[in-house]
Amino acid sequence: MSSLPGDVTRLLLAWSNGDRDALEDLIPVVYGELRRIAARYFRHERPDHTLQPTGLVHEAYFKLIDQDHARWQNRAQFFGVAAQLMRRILVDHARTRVAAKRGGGMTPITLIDVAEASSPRGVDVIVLDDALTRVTSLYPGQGRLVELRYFGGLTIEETGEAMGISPATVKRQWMVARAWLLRDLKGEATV
Amino acid sequence: MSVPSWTDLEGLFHEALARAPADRAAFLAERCVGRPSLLAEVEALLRTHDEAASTLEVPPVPPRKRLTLGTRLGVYEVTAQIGEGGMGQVYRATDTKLKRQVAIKILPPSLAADPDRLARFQREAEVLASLNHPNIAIIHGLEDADGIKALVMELIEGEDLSQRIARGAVPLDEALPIAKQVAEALEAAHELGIIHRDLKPTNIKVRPDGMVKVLDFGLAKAMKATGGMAASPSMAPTLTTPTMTRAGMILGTAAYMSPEQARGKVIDKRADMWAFGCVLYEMLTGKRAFPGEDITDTLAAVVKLDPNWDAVGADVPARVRQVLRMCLQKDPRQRAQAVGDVRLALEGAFETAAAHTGTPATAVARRRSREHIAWGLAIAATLLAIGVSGLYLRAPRQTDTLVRFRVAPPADIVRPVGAGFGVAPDGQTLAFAARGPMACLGSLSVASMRWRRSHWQARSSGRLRSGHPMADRWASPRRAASIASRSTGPPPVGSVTCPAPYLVAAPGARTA
Repeated sequence: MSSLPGDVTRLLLAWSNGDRDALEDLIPVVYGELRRIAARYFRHERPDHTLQPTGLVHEAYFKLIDQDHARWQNRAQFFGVAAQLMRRILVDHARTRVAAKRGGGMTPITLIDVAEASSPRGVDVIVLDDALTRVTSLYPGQGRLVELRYFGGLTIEETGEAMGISPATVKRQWMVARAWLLRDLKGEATV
Repeated sequence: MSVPSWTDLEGLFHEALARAPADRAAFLAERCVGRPSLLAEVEALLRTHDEAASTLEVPPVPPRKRLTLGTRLGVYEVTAQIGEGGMGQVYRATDTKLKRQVAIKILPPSLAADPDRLARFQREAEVLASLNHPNIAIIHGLEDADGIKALVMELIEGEDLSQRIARGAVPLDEALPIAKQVAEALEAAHELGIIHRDLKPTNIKVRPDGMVKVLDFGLAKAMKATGGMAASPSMAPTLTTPTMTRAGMILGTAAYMSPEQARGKVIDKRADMWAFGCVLYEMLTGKRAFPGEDITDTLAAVVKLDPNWDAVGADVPARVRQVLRMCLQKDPRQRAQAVGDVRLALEGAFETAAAHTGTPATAVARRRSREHIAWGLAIAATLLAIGVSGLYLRAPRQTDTLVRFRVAPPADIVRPVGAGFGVAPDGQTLAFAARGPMACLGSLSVASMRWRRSHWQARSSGRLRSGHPMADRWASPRRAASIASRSTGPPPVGSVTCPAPYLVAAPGARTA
């Protein structure tokens, strides 16, 4: 399904005006575009298997959205939708890879390379996805926040916009959620 | 065990974090009496907090190789990371030889890896390093060590202007000295033909002692991917991050981008005038002159909308409002042309004596700038004389109204020299000596200005007090006319058309 930038923009506008069906129409378009972009990245995957979902989502945004007519709210909405889809695409891809390479020296796909961090390879997508699922089951709002930040690549401000909360609140929650995730990843006692 | 509520977790986490580490245990123990699971959870979160901040933080995109503290680059030893911008990471470092602190800016790999671009950058950097002005951060040199290319600059302590503005509008008596110093920095650079191209509050540092330092002069151009002249939003340095992800940063640049820049047209020093206006507006109001939710919005505002003039406080004097309006003209031809004029206008130099009441001017600066004043007023005087005669011929009944205004010098004039001028016999061309585009070579060229009478607009009138240093020149159209008659023919070098002169001075002169 191909679409013109105006279509997605219109769907976003309709959705923000309360048209639920618009979202139904929107998702396949955004998903398709994200997959196309992601596939290209996967083909040229970097040797260290790090990905920047931020870049992918933004690229999709610039491709799909008619910049002249979209409003800021649409942008936040778009990223809100895209973050979720991106997560699905990345995790699917990571699982496929793991399956394909099973038995061989499999290299996990890591989300973002944080060179100076103690964990030089960043965070494994699948591991992060699992942790995110756990945090979401306990604290849905905060799970969503993490999803937007990691898989949508949204900034604090954009996350606030997408969730309808203030950047200050995002920041406060983000600090705690981040610590929660790391504790979970390290397998410290869970509640 | 029950799962603690997020509200409890978040609240206690932050409350504990705000306390000294040693006090946290006692604080939590007291607050979590009877809730051991909450206590354990918050304690665990606090334990992982520091590590999470470094491992799980979403890093700026694109992730670049960072220097670790203690890394040596030639004679420089990295001591801290100061910031990360579109133009690369910035570190504080110690010059181990000269024992001084410097700032080093790592060039993005895209630039460092491209020999052509790097060579061009090197040439630009040499020019920029020649900028020697107290209000401009000095470039010490380019460092190349272990494959890392870095620009070594003067380290400036203190906050940048955006941080200051974030706390609210800057009071007038604080804002004007800052604006004046920024103007002086621009003036010095423009004189050398160097345009800042990316002036914005984050590039203006205010030292604790009040000294202002403008950073990153000309780097925008030096770091540009292509050698072309055109500037476009995507060419601004902060927009070149490959994935266009740093929305906040892009926004930060777009908000100060002149309309011609936003349209991708060739820019000149008048783009800096625009940015200067934006910065001044933001200082005085605490708000962006051209706000927008995103880059599209912002650029649309830049191109189409007027700033909200109501936001400028009532305490802001007319001359400062005038400067804002002069700088924030969408059409660069209508905009203030020379930053020196803007600085003088800020100091009140163009105001008539009558308008000075209540606004103590800086006498020293004014003396120093006498030459400029003389120039500005001389041109004004000439035009005044011609204007009067024009009005006389066309509308005899208005002869009692003398209007004062100024014609902007052509864009490529860096600064007129002296107070001399001449008017061609036909009254259409004004000639004056000026430093032109060849200013870097130190040569003088004579430029001229031509204007059309139809574009004149009288704005207001007032009386010029006798005793004003310029009063005799002003009050005597005959004198101007006699000077005009002495000039002969077209000027010796070139002639520049200035089709739409704009008006500056609101307080005018009037003769009966």
